[in-house]
Amino acid sequence: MNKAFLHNSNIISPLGFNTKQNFNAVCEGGVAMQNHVFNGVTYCAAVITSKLLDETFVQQTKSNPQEFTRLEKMCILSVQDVLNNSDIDTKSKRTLFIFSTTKGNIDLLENNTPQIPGDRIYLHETAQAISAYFGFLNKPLVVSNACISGLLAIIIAKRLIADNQYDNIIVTGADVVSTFTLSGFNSLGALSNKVCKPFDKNRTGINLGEAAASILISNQQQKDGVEIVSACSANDANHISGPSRTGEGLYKCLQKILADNVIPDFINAHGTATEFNDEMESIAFNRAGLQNTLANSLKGYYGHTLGAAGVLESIFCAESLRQNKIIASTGFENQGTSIELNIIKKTESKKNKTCLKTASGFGGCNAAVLYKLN
Amino acid sequence: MSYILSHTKIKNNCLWHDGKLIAQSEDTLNYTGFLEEAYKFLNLSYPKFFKMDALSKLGILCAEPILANKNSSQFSKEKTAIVLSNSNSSLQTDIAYSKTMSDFPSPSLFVYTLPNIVTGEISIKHKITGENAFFIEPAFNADLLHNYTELLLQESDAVLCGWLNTDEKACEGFLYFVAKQPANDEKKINFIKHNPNSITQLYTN
Repeated sequence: MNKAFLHNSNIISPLGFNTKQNFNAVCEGGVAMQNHVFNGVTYCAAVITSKLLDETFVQQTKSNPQEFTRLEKMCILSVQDVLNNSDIDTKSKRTLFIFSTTKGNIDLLENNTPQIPGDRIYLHETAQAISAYFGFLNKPLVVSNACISGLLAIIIAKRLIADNQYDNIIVTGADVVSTFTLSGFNSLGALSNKVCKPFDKNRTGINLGEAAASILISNQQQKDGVEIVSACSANDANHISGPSRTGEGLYKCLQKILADNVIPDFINAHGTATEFNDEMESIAFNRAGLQNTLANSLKGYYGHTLGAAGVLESIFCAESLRQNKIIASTGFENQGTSIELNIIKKTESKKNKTCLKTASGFGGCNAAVLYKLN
Repeated sequence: MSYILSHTKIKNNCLWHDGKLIAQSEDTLNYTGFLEEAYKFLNLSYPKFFKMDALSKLGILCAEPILANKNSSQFSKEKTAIVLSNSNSSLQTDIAYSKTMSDFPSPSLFVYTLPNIVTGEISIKHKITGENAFFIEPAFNADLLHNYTELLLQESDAVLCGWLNTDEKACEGFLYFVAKQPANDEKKINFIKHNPNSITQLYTN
């Protein structure tokens, strides 16, 4: 069995267009959410300025921005940054591109533009457009599994590398903020009209955010290599749009990947800031004996970036381990779950070796990964 | 070695289980009408079915004959994975939801605007809590399903996998249940060997 390591990465978000800019912005307390008007309604969401995206796209790729959707431009910039900083061969049989998204180019339902073929609404066509841009030899693999998509894509990459099927896998997770997702989460009463407050007593729901995040996962160990030690997913088998009250699926994941009673140095939770998600996580963490472990959520900085979240947040896990930093769970003031968790209140230096990343989503899905700095 | 213990298919208003035609409707009936007839034919009593979108209905109907079977029910539900795929994701329901957006956005439609909701529906009905994955492919891909299922079988006991695809005009469902050969049980040798060829044959036949 080969080991799988997280290598270089990129994040395209309102807080920056590479990992370093994003990590530094978050360490300084930067928050991506602002009020934006979509179809006449004001939402608190994290949105990338289209003008900046297009200008950067033209500058970095010398390609025509009209030929790609917002989501595709974000993904192309993201993958290009990863490729520029590595020597992997996209034309090798041993290289794979995995694309994770929940809604892809869903905004094409409302704003179809003549330059974009209508079939790009299909997630496999979106992935193919990005993949073709870089000339990947292998067909892209597309994972769409609600809010665990990004973390699940990393889990799948780990399994493929462990089985020696590939040397290098680029995992890109992306979603855009659209009238579709805003209206949908609003119809569920899940949106907060202020910046979200994960795990806080006064949390009132999620913010949506957009991002593309990419990471190279390789069988090669390198200096500062972060290993994907163990990983799994599990279903609650309880409800399609709400988590199990007892955190059943997440607890099963934790039991499985924290074998031998390993306690991670910190947890990067899903922490969406909904009443039910954060409560469920506190119960699952407590059942696994992790109630005293330092924990945070990054949703207070980026909102919920859906299919990008698991990749973006895993990049932060790796950087936190490499840079010996623990990041404050912004928005958190007072304990707001029935089980008290050890939520990180201040971003500071602290030596860490291991980190647990979790995610949960609609359809009852849960995923967890244990990362370790070598 | 792993084996396909059971398989189902829904296409052209027909439902097959292990190669036998078990429900059929006139071609003139639209497929959503057929899905409701198949529900009656399978003697299901599961009122939630009628709240589901077409993709979830298709998945529930394909899963039922497989999971009600004693060959598959002997496996631990915690160690049974569900690996699904299609090409349209949840697009049909996405479009239906988007039509409600300007008026009264429908939360009951919105919750079905993810492909893996059908995974959740099958999991709830059969209490299956193992690994999940949903892949989007341009067309049915036996190699991918076979490959990932075999990786999962290193830790899972069984995998329900296949293809569930819908659009406005047609649906296509093909599910099969894969398990490692239970030790010392010679009868199991009669089951179909799990490989990309056998999967493709079951899908196309």
